[in-house]
Amino acid sequence: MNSWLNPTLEKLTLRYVIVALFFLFVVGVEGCLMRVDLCNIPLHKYEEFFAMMTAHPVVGIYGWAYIAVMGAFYYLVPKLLNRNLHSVRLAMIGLVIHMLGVIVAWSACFFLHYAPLYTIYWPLPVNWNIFPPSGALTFTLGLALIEFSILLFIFNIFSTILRGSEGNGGSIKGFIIAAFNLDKIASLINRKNKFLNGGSRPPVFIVSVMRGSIDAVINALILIMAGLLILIYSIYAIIGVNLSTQLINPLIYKNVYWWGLDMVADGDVLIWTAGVLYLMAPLLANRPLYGENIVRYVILADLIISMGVWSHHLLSDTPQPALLRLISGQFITWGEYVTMGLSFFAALKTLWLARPLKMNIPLKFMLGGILGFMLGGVSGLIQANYALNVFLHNTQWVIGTHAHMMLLAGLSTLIFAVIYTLLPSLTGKELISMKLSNTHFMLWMIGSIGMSLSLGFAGIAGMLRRNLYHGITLYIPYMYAAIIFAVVMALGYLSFIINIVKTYGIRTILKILIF
Amino acid sequence: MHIQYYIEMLFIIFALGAIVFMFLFSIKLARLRNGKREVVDEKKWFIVLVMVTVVFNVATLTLTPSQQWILWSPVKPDKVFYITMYDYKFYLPENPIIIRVGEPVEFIVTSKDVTYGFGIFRGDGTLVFQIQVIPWYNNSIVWIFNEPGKYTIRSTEYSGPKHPYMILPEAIEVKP
Repeated sequence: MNSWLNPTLEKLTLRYVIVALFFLFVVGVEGCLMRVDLCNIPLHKYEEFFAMMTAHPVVGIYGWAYIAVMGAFYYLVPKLLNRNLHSVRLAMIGLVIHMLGVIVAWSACFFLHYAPLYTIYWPLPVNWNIFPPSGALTFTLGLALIEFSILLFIFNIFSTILRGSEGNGGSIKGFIIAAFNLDKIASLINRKNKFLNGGSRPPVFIVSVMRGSIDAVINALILIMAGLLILIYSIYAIIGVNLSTQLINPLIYKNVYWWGLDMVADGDVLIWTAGVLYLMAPLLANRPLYGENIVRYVILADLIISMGVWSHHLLSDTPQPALLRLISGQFITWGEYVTMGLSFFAALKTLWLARPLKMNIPLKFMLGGILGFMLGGVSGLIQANYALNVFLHNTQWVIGTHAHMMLLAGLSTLIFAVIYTLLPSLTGKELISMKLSNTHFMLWMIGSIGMSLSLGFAGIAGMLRRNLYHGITLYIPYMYAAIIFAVVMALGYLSFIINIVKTYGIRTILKILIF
Repeated sequence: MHIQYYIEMLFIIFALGAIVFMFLFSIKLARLRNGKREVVDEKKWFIVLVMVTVVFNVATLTLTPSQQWILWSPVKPDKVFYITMYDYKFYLPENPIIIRVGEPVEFIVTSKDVTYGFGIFRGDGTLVFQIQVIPWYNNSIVWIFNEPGKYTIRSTEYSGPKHPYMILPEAIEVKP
């Protein structure tokens, strides 16, 4: 029987989408407020500005992107496998915990001015001369709730996928062998291999979700470990004992932390994105994915590659062994260029072979998303370079041309493609205005690419990220350009919201959330 | 011209190319197939990707001037400057630090509390180089300045709300 905690699958996903869109609004407001400060209009005190900067990626990544992706996967995975979600109730509880986690972490920044940034480089998060231990305690509690809900999501998805895998080789082991073509690899090595797969192979989208989930688990565990460390130090500080920060080696901490944190960027963002492309392209082209067999090897290769790329965040750390910076930081990182290059090729070729295609809204957003990833990915490769990082690290290039390009022009655009695809089947009703949808697409693409490039070019001119330049006018023109493009992007978002409200009505949206 | 501007120019060319490609691709998607054989398959594309990888990595590691003394033939510095960072302040051996154009110098930077960054900027605000400063480690870099002038030192890593104040204008003077 349906209840608030046990809604239909459609309602569950719609709730996730509504909450995600709310957090996208919040993160957009935060971004604009910070940009005003960077235009030398001091709206905030320094501690307020950096507290907002700490909250910004938490709300953007975990509030917007993760919730939207989780909502979409909760609907798509069971539908594709033609079975029920393991537990709708657990998914609903997960949403509540996740929202609570984002709000608690945000509150630590907003009310207690806890501002170690998302990087939490040791020992800054436990520097009690500048941050209150209560701030650290609240922030880590928020992060713990977020990561716990992510683990619930992974459990729910894995249980859905692996339950009933009897049809794919007879066991979970057989399912995994079939998913990654391990039987074919084994037969190349040994013709009498014991990994023969008897059943059908799971869709590559499902394989990508599974493979991305491995990274999500590693990311969650490492963040929980870092959070526990900060928690222990803050509890000791609250009872009046100051633990020595030198008990922890900052370089080893940074290596472990980035190894785990990078799983979000180089694991989830890339491979879950690739998975969505593997799903969307055949759906829009109405034909099988081109090179599906190769794609299974690509997903497996990317799993191995993503474990070895973390050092590109430590290219400017000279105590880090040079060989590690060169191999892990640069060369292995280029492996992602190859795997993502093959993924985009598979998606584009699938569309190409199906032409003529009607250029509908989901297809426009999908192609826009690929463009965003191309631009953001290549700029990332430029900075993940032993020779060039010394000129680019920690400048606005990194956060603009790479991170915001990937997250706004790439990932967010693709999420919109999925939302536009799913809305009719989730609600039984098409969006009312094609004009507003097209306006959303144009303004979002121009705004997100324009803003990311404006920031990136400020970085080329020497402007640092994570800094304020009150009284210095050198970089002001870039910041004005960035804020204009941010407003363009916001107008795109507004077109989408107006379209949603005009189509479904505020009352229906509230009903979905409340009943 | 500084190396960052070459990066910017190359990226603009790439970005324009990518935008034009996606635009033309989306136009052609709406048209009927012309019946010609599709010539690019995933194997050919894989070879293209690998070739780009090799060319870019070899080019950047060999053509970037600073790699000559950092990677390929490390030089013995003529001068070594020990710099300490503590409690949101720089402690320099001399102010300004005097350097001659073309002489290799080494900066060894240590932090006694949190992670900072050590970056040197030209008068026009562009970055000459930067490194991270991991606490309790010697963080070092060898550099050869090729332009005379006065340079600013700034912390390039966020270290707390006092981070924006960590700037020493004209703390380095490079003489001809």
